[in-house]
Amino acid sequence: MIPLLAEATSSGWITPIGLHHYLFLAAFLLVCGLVCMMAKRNAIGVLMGVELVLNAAAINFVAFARYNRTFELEGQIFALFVIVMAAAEAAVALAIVLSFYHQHHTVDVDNARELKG
Amino acid sequence: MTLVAVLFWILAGFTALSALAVTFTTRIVRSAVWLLFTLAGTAGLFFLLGAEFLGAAQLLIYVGGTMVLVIFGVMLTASHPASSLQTNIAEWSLALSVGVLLYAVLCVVLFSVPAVTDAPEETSRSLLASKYLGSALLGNSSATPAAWLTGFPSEKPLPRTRVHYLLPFEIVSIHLLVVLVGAAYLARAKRRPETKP
Amino acid sequence: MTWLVDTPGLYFVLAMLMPLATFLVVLVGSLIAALARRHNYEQVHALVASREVALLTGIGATAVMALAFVLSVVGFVQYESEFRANRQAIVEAHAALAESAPQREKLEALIEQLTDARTQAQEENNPAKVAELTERLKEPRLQLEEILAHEQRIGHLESFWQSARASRWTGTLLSVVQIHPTQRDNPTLGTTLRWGYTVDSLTGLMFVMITFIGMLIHLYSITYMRDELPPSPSDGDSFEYPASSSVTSPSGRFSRFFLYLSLFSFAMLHLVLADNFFQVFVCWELVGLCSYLLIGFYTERPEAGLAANKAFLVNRLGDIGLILGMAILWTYCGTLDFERLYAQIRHPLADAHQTPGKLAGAIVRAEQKSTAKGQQIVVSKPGEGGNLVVLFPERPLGETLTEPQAAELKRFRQALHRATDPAERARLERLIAAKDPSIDHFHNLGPNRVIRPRGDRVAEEFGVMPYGLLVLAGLGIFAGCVGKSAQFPLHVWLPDAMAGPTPVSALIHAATMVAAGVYLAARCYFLFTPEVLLVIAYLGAITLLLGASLAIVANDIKQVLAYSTVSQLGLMMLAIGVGGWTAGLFHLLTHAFFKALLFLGAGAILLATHHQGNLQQMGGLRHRMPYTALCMLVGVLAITGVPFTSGWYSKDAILSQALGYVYVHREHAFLFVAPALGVCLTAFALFRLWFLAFVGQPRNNDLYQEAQESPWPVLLPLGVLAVMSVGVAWSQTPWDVHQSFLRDTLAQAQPLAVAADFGTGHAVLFPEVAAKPAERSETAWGEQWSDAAGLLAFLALLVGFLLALASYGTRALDPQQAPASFPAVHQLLVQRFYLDALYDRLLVKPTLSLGRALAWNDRVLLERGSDQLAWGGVHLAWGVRRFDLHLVDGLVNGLGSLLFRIGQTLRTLQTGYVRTYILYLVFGVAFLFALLLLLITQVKAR
Repeated sequence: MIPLLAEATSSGWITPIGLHHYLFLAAFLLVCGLVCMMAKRNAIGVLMGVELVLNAAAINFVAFARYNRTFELEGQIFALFVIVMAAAEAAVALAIVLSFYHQHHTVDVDNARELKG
Repeated sequence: MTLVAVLFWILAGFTALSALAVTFTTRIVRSAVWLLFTLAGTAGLFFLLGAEFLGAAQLLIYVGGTMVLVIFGVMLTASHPASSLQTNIAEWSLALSVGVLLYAVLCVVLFSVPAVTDAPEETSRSLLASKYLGSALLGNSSATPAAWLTGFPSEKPLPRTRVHYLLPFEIVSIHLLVVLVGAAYLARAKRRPETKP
Repeated sequence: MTWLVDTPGLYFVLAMLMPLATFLVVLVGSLIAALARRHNYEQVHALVASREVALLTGIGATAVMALAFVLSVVGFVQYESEFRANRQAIVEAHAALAESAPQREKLEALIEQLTDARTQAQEENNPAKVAELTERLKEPRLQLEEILAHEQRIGHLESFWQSARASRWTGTLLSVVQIHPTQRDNPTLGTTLRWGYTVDSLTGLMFVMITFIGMLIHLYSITYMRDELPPSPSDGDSFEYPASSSVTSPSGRFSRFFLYLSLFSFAMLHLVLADNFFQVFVCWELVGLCSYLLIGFYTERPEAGLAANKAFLVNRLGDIGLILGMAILWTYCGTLDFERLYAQIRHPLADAHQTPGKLAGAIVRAEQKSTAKGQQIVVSKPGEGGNLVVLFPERPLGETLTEPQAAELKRFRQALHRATDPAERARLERLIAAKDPSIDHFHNLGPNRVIRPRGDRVAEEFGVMPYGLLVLAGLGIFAGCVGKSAQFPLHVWLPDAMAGPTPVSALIHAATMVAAGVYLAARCYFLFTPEVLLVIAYLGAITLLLGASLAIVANDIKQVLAYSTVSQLGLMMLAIGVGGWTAGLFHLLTHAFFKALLFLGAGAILLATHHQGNLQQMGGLRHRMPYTALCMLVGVLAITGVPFTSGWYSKDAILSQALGYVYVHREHAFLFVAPALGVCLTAFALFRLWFLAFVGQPRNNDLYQEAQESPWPVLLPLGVLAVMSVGVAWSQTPWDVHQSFLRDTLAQAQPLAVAADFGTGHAVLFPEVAAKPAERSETAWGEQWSDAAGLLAFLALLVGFLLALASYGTRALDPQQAPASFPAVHQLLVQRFYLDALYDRLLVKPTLSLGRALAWNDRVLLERGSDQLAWGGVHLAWGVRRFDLHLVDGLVNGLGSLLFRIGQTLRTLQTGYVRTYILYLVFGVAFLFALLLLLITQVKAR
């Protein structure tokens, strides 16, 4: 099941940096971002979680570009797009948050309960 | 331990710790600062991976643009300097457990994929230069690397097709325009409701 | 008119339809009158319901009956001539065949010898000898052909008569009524009912008798029923008629009388003409209906209505048996036609070779025995019994062929195909006919023959039926006759039926309807097993004595005649029971004439005495009504059997047969003692009647003074009937009691079964073949002892006459002494043996109380019961409603509330918090990833 770990243990933690390392990191960043989104009550905090997620995606793309010749171009292009889209999205999100603040006079996400069933 | 490995571990650790700090700090400004460090660490990782343009772009756009935006947002929406919105332990534990679950699943997925590493002579290879990226974005498909298609089990590997990314480039441009307009509209000054005396 | 010549049987059909035409015309007329009155067409009504039209109805009905009589006579004469000619020819042919029997045997032996020799010569291959023998064979063969031609001629004659009779004297009036649609040309048993008619000597005679007496009675009724005529406009005050006058109200009843009388005539004639039980039954009921209508004619008299009811109901009791008998016959024999039933139940006369059967005309019994070959049905010997009756095939066939027989037949057929010599062909055809079962070929049954009946009854095969059921069928049919002919115990209706008009009593209850029972018993004689015949004889004897004894004490003139009718009918049944088929029917015919005469005479007396019929009030009327008295005397002489009257011949025939029967069966001596005693009692009763009415001092002077002779329409029938009562049975030698044209004509219609049961085989064709030996034949003994019987009868008659003369004629004996000396007996007789009271207690009262109980039941149940039921229904409805509400609504509501609760529960998922949604999202992502991982690992594992 885990060829890498087996290899790792047999070679004693001396292993060249491979794709997996970056992917693990990206996954970690992803999960942190999601936890941030789930746990933060401040709208800006949620926004920051989103930034973390997008960053994780970008790291993934570039890692694949690096370790797979076929996708050398694609990886970078898409990472670029991710960055751009992240910026755009941040702008819009902030506009929404400002609008929200204007209405509720607070950025507590828990106040946005209009969708309560 | 090669230099790449050392650099990787430092940068990765720095990024990971910053991300954790983003999540767990209570005050929003501190959280923003830690985000800044995370983004910087990401840029460093890009440089390490050989995507110099991308790292530069990251620093420019993300750190220089998005973070400024975020800080502005924090400042504009601050209600009280001392108040900070706390989440209770139950919600934290729930969020953490789900997050850990997801991370576990992802790890299992990753472990079941065979390892890929560099060839020894290519440990510090750079990826395609920005001119190639630019020409691909502008519609020139000659920058496509002549590489074999992966994932096809064949004795005769097929060279991949040549592509360019003009269309996504244009779309993204329009998208940014739209976003600009939309954000401007959303954040406009609204007339306050008249209060009757 | 050629069709009438081609099918002379239509004479009788036309004669039968004439009264029907009268009936329909009168019915239509009455309908017109009723409708006219309803819709206020006064003039039309006055015209149709007038006196003249009513009289015209009566005269018209009489004329129509006269025409029917003429047609009947013509048909009868034609039939008799044809029948006698054919019979004569057959007898001659049989005689010739019998004569040549020994020669035939010799010839056949010779031919056989020569043929064997020739075959041998052929084998030796000696052509010269073969030719010589063939030459010698020619002559004997020709002679044999001549002899066989007789046989053929008999067959030809018989088949001609059969077919001639079938096409000329029988017929189908309506198309076949099929219960199961089968092939029309070959109806199998149990599937078809036919509507047809058949004529034989008995039919002819009955037709002539019925139409003759009917015609006279129609004429008589015109005068007798004149009180019922509608009033003429000139009639002022003499009668009190109601204002309305229609056919149904008393003043217009004249036409109604003729309406019913015509319907009755039609039904009676049809009954006699019918050739199957079904038609007979329809007409049986129809005559019963007419009897009911006519007995209750005087609707203003309650006793008339009651008597009509009684007559009809008692008749119906008998009909139960009739239907039962018909049902049994239909089930086992599959047909209700008399001819076909006869063919099935009784052994045929001769086989295909015209060899007479030993058991010809007898009921052949069989037994199911276990033999070496398993369970088989074996024909029993004539003496010993068997629990099955053999039903013969209607178209007799032989048994199925065995293998060697079939092969032989095939060889013969091939030889026939090759043969060119006509003599050879004839010989081969004869051989084939002898062996081929598909050609009509029947060999006589004898004891120990095995028959193989099929499971489903088919006309061409043998069948069996349980003997007990045949007995039951016979008893059932006789039960119908008991009801119709007023035998004991169903005789109680006839005396009460005298409440009807006298012409009705004359026609229906003396001459015709009550004769229908005897007629049916005679027609169905072949069904009756010896047990049934014994029952018939005993019931007849009991009835005979019963009627005669009750006639002695009756005081009403019509009652006396009614009882004597009962008694005479008993005598007829007794005759049939002891084997005097011809004698019984002979007496039926003669009795019709003199009983009608007596009734019409009684009617004349009633007319004279203003319908007051008590004998004790009459006396000495012969001075006022000499002509009537003379005719009545002739009638009385005839009924008592005084020599040279018609009654003498018939009674003598019956008594001699009875004596012969008793001689053979000593244990049934009662069957002779009863008729002898009956003769005595009848004589006494009838002479008592005559003496009381016509002789002596008048006991009621007013009555006596007003009595006078009736007009000529009354006297003419009396005179004619008086002549007929004396002369109808005469032959060329009237002093010989055994010779009578009527009797000989009747004897032609006698079925072979009678001779087989009581006589010595077929009297005409095969007198040497007998089912019974001569010393056991009742008929032979009867003929031998007939003189003794006649003498005994005359003595009994004399005793009765002298007693009556002494008691009522000369008053030498006091008639009141006997009742005083034997009060118990007298009371028994006066109370009609308490039979009426018994029936009342046993049948009428329980029925009435049952009716009352059922009515109470209905009333109570209807009121309370149905109420309870209704309330129960209402409660049930309420319960259902509750059920509906709680269960159905509860279900639906519960479902709704369940869904609501589910919704409520699910609603809590929508917290409204964004973070919760993000949680769900992440969880979902994790889940999907895990799923994907599982799938991929599974795929990779494969």
